[in-house]
Amino acid sequence: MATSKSRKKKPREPKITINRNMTDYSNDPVFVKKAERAKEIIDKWGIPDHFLDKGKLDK
Amino acid sequence: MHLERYDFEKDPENLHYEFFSIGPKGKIKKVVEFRRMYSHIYNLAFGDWYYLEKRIDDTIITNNNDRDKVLATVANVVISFMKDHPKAILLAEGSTQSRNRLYRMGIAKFWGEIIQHYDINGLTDCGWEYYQKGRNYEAFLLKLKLNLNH
Repeated sequence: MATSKSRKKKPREPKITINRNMTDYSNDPVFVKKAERAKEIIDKWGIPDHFLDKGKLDK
Repeated sequence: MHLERYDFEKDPENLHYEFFSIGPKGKIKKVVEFRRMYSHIYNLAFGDWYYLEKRIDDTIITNNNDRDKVLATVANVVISFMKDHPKAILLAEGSTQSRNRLYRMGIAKFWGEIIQHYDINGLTDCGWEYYQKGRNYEAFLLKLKLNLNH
């Protein structure tokens, strides 16, 4: 009996939904602390010129 | 991208994203935040939602047997965010060494797709440099390549 070769199925595309009632995470201490740390990195090292359109960082 | 990914939700401002990691440890909510720092520079932060204390935990190692699926989902979240913010420069720093290693693994895993569409830099003791596979970096910068139709 002929058997068909098993074919690898492509994983389905994930569903993306807009949640208008999402928890407000903006004041979460971890996220706030990470934002402060990110600011320290940017203030210390800047952003490479080739990442900026005009070589300037608009603060 | 030909990897399994979780469905996810985003807020109307496209700055917060949620998805659930499902495995032996149960159903764990993962949250990704893109926070605007300056102009079009955003910081990426990622953690587990700790239900009991109603807060994010970014140091926990969940071990839900779905690391690759979580990585692929976060990558998809980043792609979704960058589509909505094509001029954004994204900064990511792991809260721990293992988190930074996870980011490096994610970058290595999707390297072929990443370099087609994005510029990546890594932060060393001496500053930013073009990302090189296999090197340890403290933080990462990512943006869409110029001169592409986005």
